Amino acid sequence: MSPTPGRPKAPPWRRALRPVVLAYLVLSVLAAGLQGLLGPVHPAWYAVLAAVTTFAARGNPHRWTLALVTVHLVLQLARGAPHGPAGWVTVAALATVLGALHRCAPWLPWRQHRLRPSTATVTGWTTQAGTVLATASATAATAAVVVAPDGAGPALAALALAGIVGVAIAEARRRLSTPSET
Amino acid sequence: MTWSATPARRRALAVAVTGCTLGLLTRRPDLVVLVSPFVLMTVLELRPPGVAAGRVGTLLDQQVVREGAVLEVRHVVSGIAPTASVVAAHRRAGPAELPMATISTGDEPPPPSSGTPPWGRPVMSPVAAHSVSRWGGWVTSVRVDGPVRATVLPLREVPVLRSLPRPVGLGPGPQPGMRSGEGIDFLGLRPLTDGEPARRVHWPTTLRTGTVVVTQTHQDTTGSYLVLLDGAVSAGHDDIVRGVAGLCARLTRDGAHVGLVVLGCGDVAPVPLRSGGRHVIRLELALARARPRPGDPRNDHQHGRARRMRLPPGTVVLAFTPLRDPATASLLARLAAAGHRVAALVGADPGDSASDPLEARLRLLESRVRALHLEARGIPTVDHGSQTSGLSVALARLDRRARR
Repeated sequence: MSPTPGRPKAPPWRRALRPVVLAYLVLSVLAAGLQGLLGPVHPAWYAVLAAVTTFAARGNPHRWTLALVTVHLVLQLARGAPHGPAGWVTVAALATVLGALHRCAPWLPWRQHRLRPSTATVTGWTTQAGTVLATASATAATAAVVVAPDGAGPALAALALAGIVGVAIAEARRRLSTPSET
Repeated sequence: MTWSATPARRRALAVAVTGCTLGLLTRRPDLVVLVSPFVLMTVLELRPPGVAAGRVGTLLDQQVVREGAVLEVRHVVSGIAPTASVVAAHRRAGPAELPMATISTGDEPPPPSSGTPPWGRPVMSPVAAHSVSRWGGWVTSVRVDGPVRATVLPLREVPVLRSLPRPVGLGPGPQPGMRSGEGIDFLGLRPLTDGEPARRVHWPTTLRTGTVVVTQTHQDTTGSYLVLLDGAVSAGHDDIVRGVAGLCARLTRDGAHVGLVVLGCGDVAPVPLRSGGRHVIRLELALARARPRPGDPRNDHQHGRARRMRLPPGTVVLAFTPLRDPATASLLARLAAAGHRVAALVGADPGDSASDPLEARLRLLESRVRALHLEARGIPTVDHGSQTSGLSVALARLDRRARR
């Protein structure tokens, strides 16, 4: 939808920084910061993350968001397992931010159409993300404290997956019970 | 504008499978935790059959429409869950996107609703609907609840324009006007004046008379056409309107300036002489409002507005009229006296179908008498009353009359 006739045109920097683009940039910076909290990262990787984020905001967001997630995955793979409950909570937070980036990416091409956040949906997402984060964090903390460090990995993964699958099943049951409206 | 926010299920699935595989192969549960939101999104995007996304539909107040009908188009958003994101979609109405299927002549169209003009070919109304994603998280401020009034334009049936009358002469080349000036059509000979170019000197006459004589030509100009449509025509009204629509579109495409005056149809403002694609739409909108009135079509105050129109000398005036109204005949005589090239295509009088045969014959005689008066003033008139003879045949007759 073209802008309303007669409405003053926003400056280029204002048009480039739509709310959806701002949200994407903030999430990407947050993910890079969490990577820094997890361990030392070579500055070249920060340059790569910035470049990929810029490409996603200006070019094909689907493709470059996939590349961004892949870079974060590679960084985590090269670093090693986190240490302690704080490390696991940071990994869970990084996972949540990457999921939000994935959710935000399809709306980047529509940034010039004056998109604004949907309160209802963002609230629903926040609830889901909070549930996932709390489940993963609680599981990680419990595993790190109770279980011995050597055996914490498989037990933690199993508990985290159990929590995620439980949330997904609850959501699927709710949507299955919703009658078709069209 | 079509909204297509891709849910990116496949990308989420790819990330989830890759992360889980790497986590299992390298025994790294943190990788599984890292891709856990993608696993969750992949599971959440699985929809059971029957639960569809929200739809933005386009509703029309009539299922069967006719040419000239005024529709009310309304966009409706349906099937959106209260907690889901609402995305509005406006579908741009274009000829390629809104095809109209013509009902065959054997089908019986439903009775027209109130306000539908009693003419035009019934066509099925287009149906446009579009599904949108419900997992976007962003909404837009596009308003879809406002009804829009749309007019169905008449179809274009372009007649054969090979025999269309020209402002002056019938030869090929640029269209000459009535004024003298630069051009190629010969107007006459006159003595040389100061500043005259030497190439205009007519040497045979100069040598014969002893004085320098130059050639005077008509000024080449853009062709101007004024179409007068009398709404009293009921027999073949559809064909005439479509033919006029095609005629206007073709002339405008050729660069001519076309104007339109609709007589006897109420307050339909005359369309001034202009050209261009938008002007064709303006002409067709006026033609869509040209609804034949069963009553007396006089006193609609369009004759005076037609007389006050600014027409360049030599404008071709094509009048489609049954000559039932004496004011129309006098209007054509005034236009011819003002230096325009007027031609009348006399259609069938609605009185032909009157119950009283004597009344019908009297109206026919009146029409013929007025046509004879116009002929006496130098205005060619051809019969356009038969439904079998289209606009092309009438224009061919007009051409033969002009050549004689």
